[in-house]
Amino acid sequence: MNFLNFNFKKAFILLLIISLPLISINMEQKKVQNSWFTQPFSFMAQTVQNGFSSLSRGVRSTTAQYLNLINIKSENAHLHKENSELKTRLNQFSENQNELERLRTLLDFQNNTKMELIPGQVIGRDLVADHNTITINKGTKHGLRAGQAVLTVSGAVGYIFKPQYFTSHVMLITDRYSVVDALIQKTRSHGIVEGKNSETCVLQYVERTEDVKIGDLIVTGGLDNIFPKGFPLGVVTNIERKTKSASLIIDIKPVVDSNKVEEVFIVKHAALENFLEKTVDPQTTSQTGQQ
Amino acid sequence: MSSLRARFYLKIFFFTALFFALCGFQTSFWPNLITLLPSPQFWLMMIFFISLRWTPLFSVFYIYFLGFCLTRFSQIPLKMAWTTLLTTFCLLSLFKDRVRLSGALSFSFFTLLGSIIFEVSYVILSHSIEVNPTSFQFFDRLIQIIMNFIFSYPAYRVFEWLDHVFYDRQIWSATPEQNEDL
Repeated sequence: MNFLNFNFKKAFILLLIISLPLISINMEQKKVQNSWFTQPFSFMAQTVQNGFSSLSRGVRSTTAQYLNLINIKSENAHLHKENSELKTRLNQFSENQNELERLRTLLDFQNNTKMELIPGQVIGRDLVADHNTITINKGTKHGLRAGQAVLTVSGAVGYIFKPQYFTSHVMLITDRYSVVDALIQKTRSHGIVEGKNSETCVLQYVERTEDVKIGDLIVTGGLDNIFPKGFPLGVVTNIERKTKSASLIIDIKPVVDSNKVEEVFIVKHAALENFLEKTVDPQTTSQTGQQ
Repeated sequence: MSSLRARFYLKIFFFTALFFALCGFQTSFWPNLITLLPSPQFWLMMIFFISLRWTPLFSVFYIYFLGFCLTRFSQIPLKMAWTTLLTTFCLLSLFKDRVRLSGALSFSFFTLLGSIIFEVSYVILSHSIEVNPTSFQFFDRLIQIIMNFIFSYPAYRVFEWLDHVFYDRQIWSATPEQNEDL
């Protein structure tokens, strides 16, 4: 047995293997100083940690922002929808209120007149822009016939000229085929109102000596047996005095804007009502009262 | 009844139904939504389409029929409707082979031309044959012409499609020579 035959290489490796844990145990047991050899590693570690920490913060922040954005977006959409709903409700409410007021006025008018009135709704306009007619949703089925007056609370609209079973065509006073007996409310002089264009009519055959002024009210004359007497037709906007003509040519603007009319009344018996008496009566009664 | 004849009747039926729908659209739909601008005259565009595409003899009578239908939606007298449409048809027929355009562009051009002819002839004929003639209303008529021109492209697509549905290529393209070949 060769005792001296000792493998030093193996022994060194074995020693190293054992000593390293021992050294580490020793280092654990002692207070670790910030030794010079640890500093570069510490620095590297800190740098890497700081880098990752910043990155993670950034990702978290971005994710949070994105998530917030999604939340904000959905919340915004929700609020937007709610706002739209409220706006719609508000519009509907004001529309209902307007309709209520309009219907109340119509009902009052219908209740306070001697005329038999049939309410109707405008469902169409004339196909050719040159003509001014409207179509209403009442026809011969509802007792309508040609030559009945069509009016609103504020003034005359036109008259029925082509009644059908379910609907009727109404010739507006602004149509160039329309002719309505009229009188100037102030002077009581008669004339004929003819349509001129969609916004104007002409009052003809009024004697040139008549005292007519811009702004005077023109009312229905009642001689045509279509309209009740004294119902507003339009207001004088222009007066033409031709030197060779015996009569005046007076432009009038209808009191009812036919483009905005939605609901109308059809008069079944126009002769039952006289609005001139209604307007005159209070004055005469007050005069007699003073006397 | 042959297939060709059935298609022809169906075509007339659907075009007439479309004409009524277009008139209704103009009188009752558009004015309730848009009051600022006048409705484009789709019915007039349909008459232009018929004038340009269909056989002249049949087109004249069919346009008369449509002119009559037109008076159901308007106060326009029948004489005015027929004379104006006839004038428009004749002038469009005169021009249609002299313009080298095709498709939607051609139709838009003829809509512009036809609308101008329609409005001008309407004023002239109204002053000739009506007791109380129409006023000129230059800007109203100008806007109407522009609206027609703007909406002519979509209108053309619809008319073209409907015309094509009832167009049997095999029947119409079967000339005697082709038949012999077949």
